[in-house]
Amino acid sequence: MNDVWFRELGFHTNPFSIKPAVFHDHVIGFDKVVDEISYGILNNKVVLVEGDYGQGKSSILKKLLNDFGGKKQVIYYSCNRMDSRLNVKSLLNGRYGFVGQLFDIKPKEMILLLDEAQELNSKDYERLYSYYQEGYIKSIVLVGKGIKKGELVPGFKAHTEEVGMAKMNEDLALQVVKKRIGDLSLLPDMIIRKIYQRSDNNVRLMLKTCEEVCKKSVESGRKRVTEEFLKQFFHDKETPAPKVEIEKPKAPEVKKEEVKVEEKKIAKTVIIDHRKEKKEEKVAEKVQEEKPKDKKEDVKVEEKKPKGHVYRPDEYKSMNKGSAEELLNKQTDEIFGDEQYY
Amino acid sequence: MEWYEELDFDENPLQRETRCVGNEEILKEAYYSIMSGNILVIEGENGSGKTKILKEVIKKFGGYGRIAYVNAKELQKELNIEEILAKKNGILGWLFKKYPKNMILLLDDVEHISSRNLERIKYFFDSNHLRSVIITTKSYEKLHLSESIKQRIRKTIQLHSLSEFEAVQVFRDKLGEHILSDRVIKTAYQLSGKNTQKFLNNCEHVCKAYVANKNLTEDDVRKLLERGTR
Repeated sequence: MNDVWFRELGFHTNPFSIKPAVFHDHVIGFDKVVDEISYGILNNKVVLVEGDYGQGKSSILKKLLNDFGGKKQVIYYSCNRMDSRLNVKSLLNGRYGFVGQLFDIKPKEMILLLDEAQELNSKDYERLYSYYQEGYIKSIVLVGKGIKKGELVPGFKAHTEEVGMAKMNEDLALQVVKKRIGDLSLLPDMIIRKIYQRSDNNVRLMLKTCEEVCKKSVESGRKRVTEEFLKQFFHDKETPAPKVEIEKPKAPEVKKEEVKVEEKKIAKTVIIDHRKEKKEEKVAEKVQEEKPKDKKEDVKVEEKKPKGHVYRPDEYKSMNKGSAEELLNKQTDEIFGDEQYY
Repeated sequence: MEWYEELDFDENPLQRETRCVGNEEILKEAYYSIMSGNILVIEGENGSGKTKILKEVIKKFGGYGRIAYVNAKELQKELNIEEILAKKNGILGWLFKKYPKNMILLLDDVEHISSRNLERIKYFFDSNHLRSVIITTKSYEKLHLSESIKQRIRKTIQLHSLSEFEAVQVFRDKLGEHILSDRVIKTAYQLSGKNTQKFLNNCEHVCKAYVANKNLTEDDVRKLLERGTR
């Protein structure tokens, strides 16, 4: 089955996968939060991180795993898997495998990362606190939406540090998408911004919408998403009437030029014709804005070797070791098992 | 002599597996959902072909040991996703809690998922143990999904019952072109309340009558089926 849209664009897997942290080496937009948490961990604190759905809580945790992992010192556990109560003892014993379970050997100075911490109640906190005091656990990071702070043990509170997560702004959201797909000519920056505005500042929702938009546009055989198409898309979405396939004719070339003039406000784009595909080139200088046609001739000569759809400006080169595709092929789960020790 | 032997069939043709008629769009959607790694919910009434779609999915993606199919109705005890996944790697996997990667979970005919299982699905989905999940249910509202799982669901689609024309197609696929007229089949379908499963059951009665009387009319079918339902 090679006729799926992302295969046609040259991606092996779905680039807009909503699973957290496809790229675990870098979390866009939360450098400060990660720094704060890391600081808290190094100072043996209990760090509370709160954020809304789909904002990147789990992604941050996975980034932390990546940072602190390696010395079998970190325990990652998602609290929604526990049966009724958090079993800290078996978590700690698990460090030494089967033997540890048998002889009840516990490691010291562990870092505990707890995802979905809203499931914990006061009993769990009490137990955690006792292990914390005995020095088995060096530091705890609690992540979740609506953690019951009232149930925290008073002893804990002295060591607690709270970190909030701000909503992403448009530029960062744009970066997130760019990092996944590179500089795809199908999705201009303008459109990505539009999509983000319409998804309640929720990154996961944005990715989902991006996927739908890409799928639809590739299936209808267009090379580029226009604003009209997006409008039509959202219109269809809000009124899920009996499904009628709207086969819009491809917008003529002249029309696209017009649309682009509007887009200039944010990203200066110049179309170049390369193997009958429209390539997009970001031009940094604002001066060129007036005469895009002249520029067109210039770039045509310079640009001769872009391969495939992925065009990478220098900024992305430094971020990734390989292309977006390679990174996507690297499965996250090669590194994350269930409760693993880093 | 069985009725189908009279019609030159060796086995009961109504139980024969045939292609999926009428829901090609939804089938495509299901394939896509698995390819791209998403959660899909299929909503449909009894006998509208929910299980059929999952069967088609198994046909397409099966054979690599990647599919876990669970029929919630046939389960004796409560559903436990964790156990299902762990047992995939045999008894050793279950003992050492080794979970397989990239599984496709098909949950058939779910009426109610406990919040614990939902959270488990969420966790396994996020950690890529589950590549894709397809849930079929009678009513999406009654599942009472939590907000965080709702956001992960890519789409919910509704299955519609077949049109009369499609019902005839289903019948022709199974029994061939020469048995019964289209109008008779359509009447039978109408009388089964547009329920495909019921329709196939009724077809058996109709076929038996057909063996006895080759010139079966619509009125005969009507009489026959109305008597049968009473």
